[in-house]
Amino acid sequence: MTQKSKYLLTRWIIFSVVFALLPFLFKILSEISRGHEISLEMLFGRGELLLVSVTLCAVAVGELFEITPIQSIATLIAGGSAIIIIAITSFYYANISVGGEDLKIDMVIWMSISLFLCSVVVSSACIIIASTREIKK
Amino acid sequence: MSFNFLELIVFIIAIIATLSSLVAMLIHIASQKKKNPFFPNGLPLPIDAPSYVERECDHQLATALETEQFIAITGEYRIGKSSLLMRVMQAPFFVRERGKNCYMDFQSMRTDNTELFLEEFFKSVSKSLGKEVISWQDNILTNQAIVFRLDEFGLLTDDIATKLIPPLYSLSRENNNLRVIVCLPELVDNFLKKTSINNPKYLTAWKNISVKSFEEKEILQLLSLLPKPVAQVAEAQYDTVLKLSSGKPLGLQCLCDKLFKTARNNPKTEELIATINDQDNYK
Repeated sequence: MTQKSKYLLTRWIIFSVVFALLPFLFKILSEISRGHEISLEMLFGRGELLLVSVTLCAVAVGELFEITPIQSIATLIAGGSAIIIIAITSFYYANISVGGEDLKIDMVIWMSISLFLCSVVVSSACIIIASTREIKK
Repeated sequence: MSFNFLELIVFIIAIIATLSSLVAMLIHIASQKKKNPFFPNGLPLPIDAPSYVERECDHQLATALETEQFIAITGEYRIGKSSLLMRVMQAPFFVRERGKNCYMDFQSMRTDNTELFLEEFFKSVSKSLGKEVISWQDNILTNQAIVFRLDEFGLLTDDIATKLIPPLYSLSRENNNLRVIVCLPELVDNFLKKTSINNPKYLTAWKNISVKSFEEKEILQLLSLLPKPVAQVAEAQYDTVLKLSSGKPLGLQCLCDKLFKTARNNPKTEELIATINDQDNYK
């Protein structure tokens, strides 16, 4: 990985991933200050993490397809994967928003964390590929 | 914990998408590593070219940009003047001042016709500044720094020079952040003396930066970009490389390009030495 890729990946992690998770940190602090017990259900039980995942992937796709056309099959696959993650995460969020008797909170939490990790991996791949794209004169 | 059908499908698709993107990233990184970093076509090296080797003139240019308004990059044919001109956009001055970049290659302009040339010139200025400029009377200056990068400056005719240099000089008096950087084969004052520009203020305003051939460490730096076994052979043949290339960047780029392509076929050492000893591979 080039220095430029490392720099852009670090910048993306700090300014996108960390900042996107900041509301959860404040939620934890807020709950602690009120003397409530912290649980994953309280943090991610309504699919909040899914929204973060969609945002991360959307930003990464934007970086990948910014101005320059698709330059390689790798760009196409990574971009396509990010769009798939956006689609299924949005779909899953819509599904749990509706609710229903068969909805299990522990599964929502587990799926939210899984989809978030998937979105971080896919977005990182997009950012790395975007960072090595050829610059026009 | 048990999946329902929907969650199972979502999970499987997410895993497949994640693995696909990982594979795509690895393929991309591998292809970048295998990508030929050399440019044997003689064109200016792109700003992100990995095979661009910094020389003393790079530091001189970066320093000169801080204080000098008129800079001339001089040197013989295909020594790397235009590639250096490209690097202006990475210089601390340009980055710090968020300069407006106005690049023109006089080779692709109508230097045989003053009117047409000036029309093309102002069209290019308008595009760079993002506002319409059709003559020197228009307000060219902005709050931002403006950097004119003029390649093949030596092609200027007497008539064009008299209509270009004095107005640029006047502009530079009004804006300290205006820079004019030109490329030409000879010292700029010698060149201007051949034209009707003989006022000393136009001749002495320039800072000349001479682009010289590669020295040992620069040649070795370029050779180090070759695959390791090939680089070792090339470094061992340094004297031959220096003799046949005379330290000219283009000749070295051509040789490295040839060696890089040869390396794909797992050549024997003798084959690589023969490639290095062949004068044609430096053209």
